[in-house]
Amino acid sequence: MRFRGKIIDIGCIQHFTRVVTTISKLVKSCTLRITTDTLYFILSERMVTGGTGIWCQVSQNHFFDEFNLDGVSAEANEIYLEVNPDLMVRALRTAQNAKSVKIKLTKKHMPCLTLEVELPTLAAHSRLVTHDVPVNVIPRRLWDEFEEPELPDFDVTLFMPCVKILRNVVDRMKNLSNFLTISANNSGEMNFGVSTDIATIKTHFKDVGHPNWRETSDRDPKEFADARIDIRKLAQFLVGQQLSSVKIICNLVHEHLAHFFIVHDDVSLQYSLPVVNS
Amino acid sequence: MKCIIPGINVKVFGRAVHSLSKIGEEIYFEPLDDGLALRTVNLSRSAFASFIFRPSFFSIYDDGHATLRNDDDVLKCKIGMKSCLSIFRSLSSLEKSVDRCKITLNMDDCRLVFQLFCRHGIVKTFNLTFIECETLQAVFSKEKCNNVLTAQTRLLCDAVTNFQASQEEVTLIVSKEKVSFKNYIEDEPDLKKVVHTVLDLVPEEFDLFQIDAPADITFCLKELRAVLTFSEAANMPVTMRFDVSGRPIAFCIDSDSTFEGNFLLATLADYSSQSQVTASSQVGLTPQTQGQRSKPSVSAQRSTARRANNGSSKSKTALKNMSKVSVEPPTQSDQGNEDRILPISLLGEPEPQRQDSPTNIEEEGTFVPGTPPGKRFKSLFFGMSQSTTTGSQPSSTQHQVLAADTDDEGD
Repeated sequence: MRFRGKIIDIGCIQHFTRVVTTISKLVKSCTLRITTDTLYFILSERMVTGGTGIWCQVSQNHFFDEFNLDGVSAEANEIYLEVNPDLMVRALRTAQNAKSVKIKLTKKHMPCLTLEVELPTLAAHSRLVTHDVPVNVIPRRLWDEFEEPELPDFDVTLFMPCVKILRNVVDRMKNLSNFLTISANNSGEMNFGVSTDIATIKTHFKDVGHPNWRETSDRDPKEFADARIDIRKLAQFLVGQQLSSVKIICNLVHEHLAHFFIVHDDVSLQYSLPVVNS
Repeated sequence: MKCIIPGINVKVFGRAVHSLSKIGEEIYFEPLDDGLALRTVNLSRSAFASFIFRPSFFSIYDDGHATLRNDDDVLKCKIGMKSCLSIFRSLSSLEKSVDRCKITLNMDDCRLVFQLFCRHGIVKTFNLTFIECETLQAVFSKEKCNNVLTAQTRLLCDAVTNFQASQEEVTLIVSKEKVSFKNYIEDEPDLKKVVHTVLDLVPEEFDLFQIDAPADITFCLKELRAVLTFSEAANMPVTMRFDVSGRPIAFCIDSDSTFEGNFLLATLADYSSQSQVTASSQVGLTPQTQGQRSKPSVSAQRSTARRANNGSSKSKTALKNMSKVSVEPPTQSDQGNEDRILPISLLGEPEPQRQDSPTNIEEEGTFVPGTPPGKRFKSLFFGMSQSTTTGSQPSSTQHQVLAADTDDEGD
């Protein structure tokens, strides 16, 4: 089992850092699945532990200049690791002006993802910083738990309103209630609301964009779909994500699921929050 | 005593106070023939810092010795760090507004007076209460160090930024081929939470690279950061002088004629290589202490003392002998320790010492942290060495594992 990758371009290093930072803001520990062409950051909580799901896909060749992988076996050419993204971020932060970053799987005092950062100096030589980030290798019998979740048929699909505004709105609402209800319909109306015993507060957004992303069901465009979700988790996502400030797709399954989707050429992130019933 | 700091130097002086404030809680003030000394020591006495501002740093410098009959009357005092820091709080505004700073002593009211003469005729006067005390001095001989490294501040700052803000200690590993900084990890129960970081530097990066003996020394990052806050702003190279683990490391900043700064940090004693350390630490002693610690007998006395200690019936004489050398906590296992001397004491002291070791505080009973040091020389102890001692077993195994880098990835 071997893995070794090298990023040279400073833009790629910074972008990769942003991806990992985004993940680290959402979750303390997640699964890193490495295949020959893609890196995945995966979280699939069971319903009893919250049911949050993260599926982040990073296409390897957009970032890495060298990428060598010998998986568990020839037919299962993959590696699954349990990583703490926050530790990875701390290591990557020292590489923000690096000449190159090598990431490799090593066995030191324990299995580690070793990040070798080559820092520039004024002279000809360069400095080498090595960070050993401890990881856990996930045995093959547990791989089934990390399969890509199947997307359900969404009732409503819309772009999120401007994140900057929404972030402020949600941050304020966070002080009032633990749960927020998103209700939206396919004709571009989107409401974010909290309700307590003494007050109900709702922020309405109109004419929200509609992505031509998938065929939506033949649902009445005026009919609202509701999703009552954990407001903290939504706030975390809005505050912590560093991938995109526009074009976040929000999908709702009425009284079942809220699903947020960021798609780029090289990175995609899905974040799904289950509905919490009152 | 009276001295006046010209406007351009006020910021340097203020920055020195800032740097000292990151180490100690009190600032020791002493006018000398060859300049004004500001010193401090941290609570656990594991770090000592001093600045000496030469007369040329001031526009007027009068140490006050001329008017006194004998040298003992010269004021040596300490003032609270916070009150001194408040004078120089905002360095950027000091630079803009202060024309000169006058430091005088008001003997009638027992106040040390700082006056900042600012633009537009504004005069800010600070009357600080002080406590008279003896000279604070760490005995450390720069010449006795085998290893000397001089680096531009930039290099050290860049090196330090690779470590987490929460990182407490770093290990400096030097050999003739390279210099490495490594984060020092104390017995962390959960290995999964710790990132091991190593930074390698080639000798060419240093202005002066003189390594006689490979060394592996661990010291506090916090105090190194204090050194760097000063040197970075002054943009002056820093010279590190050190020997082996357990012996202190000195960081020196020297602007030939106007001032110099010295920071002395205790380093963690490496218990596995203690026997070799013994010899060199003996050599490194200053003449005063050599007389007290008659060489071969010390170890014998110490081992007696420890035995008595373990039997929890420590005689006063045994304690006296022990306190000349620093004592390890009684929890340390006895085997193989008989013939070695703990090198964590930086300086000798003819009188019984205040010890960090809990047993000694108990025995002496009178030690209150922060009281004025009664004697000319004070010890620096490394407080953390205790925790390492008690947990020495796990930590040594951890080191073994770390050493074996079985990186099988094959570059």
